[in-house]
Amino acid sequence: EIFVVDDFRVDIEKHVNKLYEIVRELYSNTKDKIALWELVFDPSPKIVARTFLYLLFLANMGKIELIQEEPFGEIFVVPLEN
Amino acid sequence: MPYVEKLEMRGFKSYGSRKIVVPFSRGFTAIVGANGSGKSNIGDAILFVLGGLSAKAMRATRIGDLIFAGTKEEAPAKYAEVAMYFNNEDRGFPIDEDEVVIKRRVYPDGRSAYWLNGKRTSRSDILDVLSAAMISPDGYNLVLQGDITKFIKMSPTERRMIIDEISGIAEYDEKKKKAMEELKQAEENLARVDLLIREVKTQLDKLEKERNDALRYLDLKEKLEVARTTLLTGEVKRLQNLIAESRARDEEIEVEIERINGELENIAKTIVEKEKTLTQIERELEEKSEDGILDVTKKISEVASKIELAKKNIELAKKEISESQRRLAKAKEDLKNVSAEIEKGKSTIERWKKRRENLIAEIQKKEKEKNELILKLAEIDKNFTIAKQELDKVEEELENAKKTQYFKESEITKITEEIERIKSKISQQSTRRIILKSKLEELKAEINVKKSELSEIDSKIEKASVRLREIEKELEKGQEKLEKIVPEIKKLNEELIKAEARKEVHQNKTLEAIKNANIPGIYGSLAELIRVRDDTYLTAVEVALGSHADNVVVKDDKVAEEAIKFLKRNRLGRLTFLPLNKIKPRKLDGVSKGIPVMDVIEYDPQFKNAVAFAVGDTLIVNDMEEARDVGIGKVRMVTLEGELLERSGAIVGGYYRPRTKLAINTDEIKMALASREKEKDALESQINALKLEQRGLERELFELRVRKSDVSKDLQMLQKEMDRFLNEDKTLKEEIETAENRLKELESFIHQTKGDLAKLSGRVERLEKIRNKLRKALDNPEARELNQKIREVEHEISKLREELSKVESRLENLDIRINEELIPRKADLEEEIEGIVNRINAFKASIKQNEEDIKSLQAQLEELQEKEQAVKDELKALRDERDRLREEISQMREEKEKLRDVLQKLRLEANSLKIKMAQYESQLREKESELKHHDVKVVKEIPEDLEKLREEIEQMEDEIRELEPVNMKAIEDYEVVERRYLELKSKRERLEAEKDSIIEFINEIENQKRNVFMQTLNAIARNFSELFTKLSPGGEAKLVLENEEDPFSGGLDIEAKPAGKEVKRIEAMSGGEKALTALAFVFAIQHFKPAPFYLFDEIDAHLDDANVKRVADLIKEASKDSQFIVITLRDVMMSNADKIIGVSMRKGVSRVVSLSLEKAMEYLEKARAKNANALGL
Repeated sequence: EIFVVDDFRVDIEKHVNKLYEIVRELYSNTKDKIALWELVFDPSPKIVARTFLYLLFLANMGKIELIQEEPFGEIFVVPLEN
Repeated sequence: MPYVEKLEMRGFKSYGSRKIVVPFSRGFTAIVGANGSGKSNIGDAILFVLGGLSAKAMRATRIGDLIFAGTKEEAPAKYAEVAMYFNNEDRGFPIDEDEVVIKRRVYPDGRSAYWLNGKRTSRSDILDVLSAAMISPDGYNLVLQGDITKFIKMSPTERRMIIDEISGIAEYDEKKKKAMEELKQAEENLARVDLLIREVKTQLDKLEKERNDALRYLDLKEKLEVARTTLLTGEVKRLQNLIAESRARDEEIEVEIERINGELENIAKTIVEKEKTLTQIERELEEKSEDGILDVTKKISEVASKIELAKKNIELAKKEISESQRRLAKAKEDLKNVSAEIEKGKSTIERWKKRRENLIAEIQKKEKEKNELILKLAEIDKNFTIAKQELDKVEEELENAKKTQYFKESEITKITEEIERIKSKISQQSTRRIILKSKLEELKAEINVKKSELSEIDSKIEKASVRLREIEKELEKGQEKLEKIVPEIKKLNEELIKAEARKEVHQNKTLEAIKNANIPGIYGSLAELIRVRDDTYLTAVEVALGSHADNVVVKDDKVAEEAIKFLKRNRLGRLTFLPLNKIKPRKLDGVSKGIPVMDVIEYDPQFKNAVAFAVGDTLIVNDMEEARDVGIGKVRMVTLEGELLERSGAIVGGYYRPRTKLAINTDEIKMALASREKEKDALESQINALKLEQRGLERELFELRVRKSDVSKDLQMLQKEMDRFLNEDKTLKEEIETAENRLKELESFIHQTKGDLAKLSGRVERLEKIRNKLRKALDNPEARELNQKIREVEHEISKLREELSKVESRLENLDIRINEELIPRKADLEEEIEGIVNRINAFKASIKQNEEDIKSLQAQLEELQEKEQAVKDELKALRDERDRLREEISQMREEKEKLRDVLQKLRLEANSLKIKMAQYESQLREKESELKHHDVKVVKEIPEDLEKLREEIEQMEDEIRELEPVNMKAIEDYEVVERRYLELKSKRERLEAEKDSIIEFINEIENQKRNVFMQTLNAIARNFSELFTKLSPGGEAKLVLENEEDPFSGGLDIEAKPAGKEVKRIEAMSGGEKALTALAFVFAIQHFKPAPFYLFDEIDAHLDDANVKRVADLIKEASKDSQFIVITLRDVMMSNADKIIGVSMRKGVSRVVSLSLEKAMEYLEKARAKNANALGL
């Protein structure tokens, strides 16, 4: 289990950080919340699922906030200042 | 099928105090999020609301720990609450609402509260509702974190019970339970009836026995009467027959006795004749064996020893011949050598003679020369001539002396050699003598041994002969005694038979019986205890005793009582007993005439009272006259003739037949007979022993004589050998003496010669001195020259002479060697050869002589052996004859004995027959009178075996006695009870049938249950195998019952063979393999009977992407039938879901966002198209 998680983390950390950079850049440009869709670059279920998972990681790390008004409603991302 | 629409949580675990809604939908929902964000808490919430009781299953220590504990910014919750919304449009729940909401709340103290569609309710109600829709908090459709392998880890039985539950066989168990209760009831009824049957049966058995007894009793009574009458009739007939038979037999016996007596006489005569013949033969045998055979044996041994001697002589001669021939060869060889040497010596002498002649001629020549020179010198000096002559003379003398010296020396050498030779010969002969001496010693010892042996044998022969003569005498004596004893025994036997026959006639049976009963304290009848001193009084005493004769004397009244009981018990008759402690003696009062009976009898003093009771008051008188004198009626009296005069005055008289009870005493006769028999046996065994010894001695004597002749022969041989050795020794001794004499002569000769030599040496020395002096005188220059010449010539001459003398001495030596040594030696050898040849011839002649002797001796031997054989044959014939006669006599004696036995038996038989006949007759009368009381008509047939009939009667009587008392009413009672018993029996059969039908029903249920279970299992097993192959392509797996015969007694095993691997025990599989196997099992069940929803928490943790994809595809497909909620971290799994719930934690509180993957895809597709358009693509 530990091995799997480690492997996942090593692989994922890079992507998560990159996604965070993108979120920050987008936010610094618009100073507005970012829709989930804007962060998905390839419309395949796998990419969507992955992106969603990375955002959850970032939220868990306290780097962004995920905002959703209603179940299955649109999901927005706002980076948080430390 | 119902499905979960949403989950509402408040204060539950990490989800904070605010209400959180987790939306679910039909199909496949994935719950994702980072580790620790609280995604598994959603699974826990589902478990919680479904009524789970295990805090541990929900990853908490206590149920109260499920309440949100608070953070820095948020206060703890007061309680935790979860509500689950089910869609119930298809009425999967038995509630008539489109939505079913169950809610559970827990307070910090662990207390729980439940609501169903807003109404408070109990947990069990909630569980009932849920189970109606096949949902339970611990169902196999809920797979918590790390819990996927529970299907692997569980025991085969637990696994089988999952199948039990799915197949719904509990219904059958319920039916079976009911049937079992019925069965129990039926069994109890049966037991009750059995109890009744047992009781009635006991009663019935008792009655049956009594009824049978009653019937039997009646039957027996009737049979007994018939049997008794039959027996009486039969016995009457039997007795009649017996009397007739006995009479016939008695007559037969008389005739037979007559015949046997005649035969016995004949046999006795024959025996006497045979014995006479036997004595004659024995005498003859003795004579023959004494003289005939011993003489011949002795001669044979003599001849044989002569032959032996001759053979030895021949052998010796042969040895001598071979030795002589060897010596002859050697002598011839020596002779040849000596002759050759003589020839050689002669030729040498010839050579040397020639040489001598030459030398003499030369010397003469030189002498002439010298003389001429001397003449010249003589002219010179006359004196010189004289001197010269003298010198010459001296020199000649010197020469002679030297010659003699040389001769003597050579002679000494020769003699010394001879001495050596003689000495060695002497030593050889001495050695030989020593050997001879030791041999002689040995021989002497041997001879002594043989001599002592011989004397020993002689003494043994003497001893045996003496013993033999003694035995013969003893035998004679023994035979005489035996002949005396035999007729005595015969007489005693006859007496005994008579006495016994008499005794038997007078025997009182009852008395005998009581004596044989072995009751202690019974001494015997008076008749037995009394002895009459004088036979004159025998009759008187008997009469006096009268009936008291059979009175039994006993120790005391107790013994008498016991004896009477015995007689009674055995129906043996009556007897009078005289107890010694009670019986009172009778006395004679003051009568001076006659003799009291007590005075003429002898008895043991302890019986005095008993005897006195019988005859103590009775007087013996000579006759009636004397009785009158005493006074009739005054006292009890008895006359010698047997008249009895009672005190009452009654007089008994007439002819008195003596009962002779007192006089008969077989024991004495028996004792006498036994002692005679014993004596006879002793004598016979003694005679036998003596005969045995006699035979042994005869054999021993013969053996000893043969041995003696052997030893004598050996002794002769030894003596001869010793003589030979003595002769040789004597010859050797003489030879040695001669040689020693010669040795002495030679030694004295040497001594003398050595003395002569010494003298000669002195003379030579003197002569040489004179010669030197003369030579000096002759020294003169003129003469010296001449002298020189003369000396030279002389020197030559002397040289020649020297040589000549050497030649001559040589010649002389040779001459001596030839004439004095070789020629005598030759003559010796020739003589020796002649001697040896003569010797050989002499030996040959001796051999021939001996051989002839042997031949004649052997002829003699054969003749003697024949003679011996003849004598032996004769003896054997005589012995055979003797043995045959003895055998015949003993056979005849045996026969005689046998006949006597027969005779004795016959007499006994005749006696007993007579007694029996009297008995039979009295019995017959008795039986005939008895028969008058019975009805003879009932007798149908009289059986052969009356004894058996009697036994039968006794048995019947016994049986009747045993049967009494008889219950006659039992015959009727039995029928009543029997009816009751049969009724109960049929009732029992009915109950039994009932019970059997229940058991059948139970079996039927069991069968159905099994069928249903097997159908379910077969379907699930098929699904399992298919799904496993789908999840692990190339792999195989199956579900196997531990016990196929009875599935419920064993569990359910999983046999899995992952792709490219051997069949693995499931415990040995990797985490991934285990997960796949477990999932195959879960889906196998789902395919057979889908549950409304499934919760899988991180079932994919150990799987690689390919496997996750396969599982995800399977879930996707299965989600058409059931709702799937899957907690996962794997993008492959997520991307297959319809909806994704994202969980993240912020400041210690979990939050939820939800994403519809379908909608997202649609939206993204549109946006992409829009972007493409905007970019002009």
